[in-house]
Amino acid sequence: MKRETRSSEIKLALLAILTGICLYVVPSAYSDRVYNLIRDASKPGLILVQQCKDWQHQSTEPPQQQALVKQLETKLSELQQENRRLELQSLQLIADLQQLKQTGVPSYQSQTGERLLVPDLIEAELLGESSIALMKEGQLLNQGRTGGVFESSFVLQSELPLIDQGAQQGIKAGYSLYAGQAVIGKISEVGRWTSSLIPITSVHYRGSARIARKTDQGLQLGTDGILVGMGDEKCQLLQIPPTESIQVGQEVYTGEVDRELPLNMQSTLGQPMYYGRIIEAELPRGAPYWKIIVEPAVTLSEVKQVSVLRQIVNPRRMLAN
Amino acid sequence: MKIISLLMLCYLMLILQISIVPAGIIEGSRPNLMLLVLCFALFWLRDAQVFVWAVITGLICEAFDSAIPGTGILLLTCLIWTAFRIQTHFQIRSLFSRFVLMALMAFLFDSLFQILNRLEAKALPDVAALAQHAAGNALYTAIVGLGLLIAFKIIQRLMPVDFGRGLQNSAVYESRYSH
Repeated sequence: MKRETRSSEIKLALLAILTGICLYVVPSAYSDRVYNLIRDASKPGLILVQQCKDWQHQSTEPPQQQALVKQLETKLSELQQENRRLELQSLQLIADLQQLKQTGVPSYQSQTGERLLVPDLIEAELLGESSIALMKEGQLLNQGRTGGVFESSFVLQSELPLIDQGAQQGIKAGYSLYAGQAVIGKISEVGRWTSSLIPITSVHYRGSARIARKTDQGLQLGTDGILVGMGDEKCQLLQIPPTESIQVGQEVYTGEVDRELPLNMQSTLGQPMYYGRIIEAELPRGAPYWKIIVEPAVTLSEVKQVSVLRQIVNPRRMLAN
Repeated sequence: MKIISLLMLCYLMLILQISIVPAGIIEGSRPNLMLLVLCFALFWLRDAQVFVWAVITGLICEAFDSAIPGTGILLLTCLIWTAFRIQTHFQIRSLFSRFVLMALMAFLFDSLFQILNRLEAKALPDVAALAQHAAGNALYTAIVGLGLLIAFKIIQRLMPVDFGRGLQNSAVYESRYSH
């Protein structure tokens, strides 16, 4: 038994030595194949280790990465706003230039006078459900009826969202509401202290809108259409003729004349305001108008504070008098 | 079962040797995990199959060290044959004797492997520096091997079922002192 074991030991040892000698003797092309086979066999394990390392790296990184992502998002948002502001400025300048081309430059040096009526923005808070409930119960203000506070003063019958500014602050029906430079709706009913508003996504909303096209000469605004809410966080742009060149991603601004806005407000809109971006555009065969879906830049659920555009007598003119 | 376990251990050690060991270098010394696999094969198999493991580990060492083909297998076969004879005669079972054997084998393999592979390039390094480096590697290898042996023993103790007894192939190994 021992002899057999010894014999197999010698045989295997010699076989191993022979393998080594063979590898040394054979051309490197053949020995490399064996080594490549071993290297390939180790690949799955190495990939697994690499994945584990990546996963570990990711799990230790998130706070830093999240902070970086937040920072970049803020920066992007700021740049987008700045870009929009510049685009609007460019639109204004283009309009001025066109007017000058049509009318010609006056021969004498003119002095710009102060406007009598100037736009004025009032900050307003959107009222939450709890605030509205409190007002309905009459608990918010303790003056009661003796103080002249009635339900109608708050426009509480309406199911529409409310803001905390009303007729006393000079708010009138039809005034537009903005979040920054983006339109978010317009005033529907005005109470003494509160007003209800129609968001741009509401089916009751209608507003004049234009599409801005990027051309070699800069941004150019197209013909006026009508923006209506679809009731599902989207809007539809109607009355855009097939002659217009429409593409997904183009931006939609307020129109030149807002038919819904009182005439005395038209002049205050010195520059177009932003509605949103086109997400769908289709021209069905034989249709008289484009079918355009617009995604609003800002929806009501995203903001707590809004600005109401109103018109006041220029304080400088008043002081001058 | 032992062969499958050893194969799995061999693969695991290979992956660790390539991916983890470079990060655990202490003062320029690194453990040779493939040599440890060969030593474990010697301790657990206790028969001539260990020469097959010498070929496998030798091939792996050559593949990843870009060595002269065959040198690893030849060296390991010679070393393991000597170790096998020592084990058969002296019944190496204690942790200390295994530690010494692993350290000796690692030292000899590391120094001879380097000498053999640099001999052809005629770039033989300073023998003292080489010995020092090989000794560092050998000590590191032996310590890691000892740690693994202790870990295996603890795991074996903690196991509710005695796998060692059930899987032990008693027909293969016969102690020369049992007669």
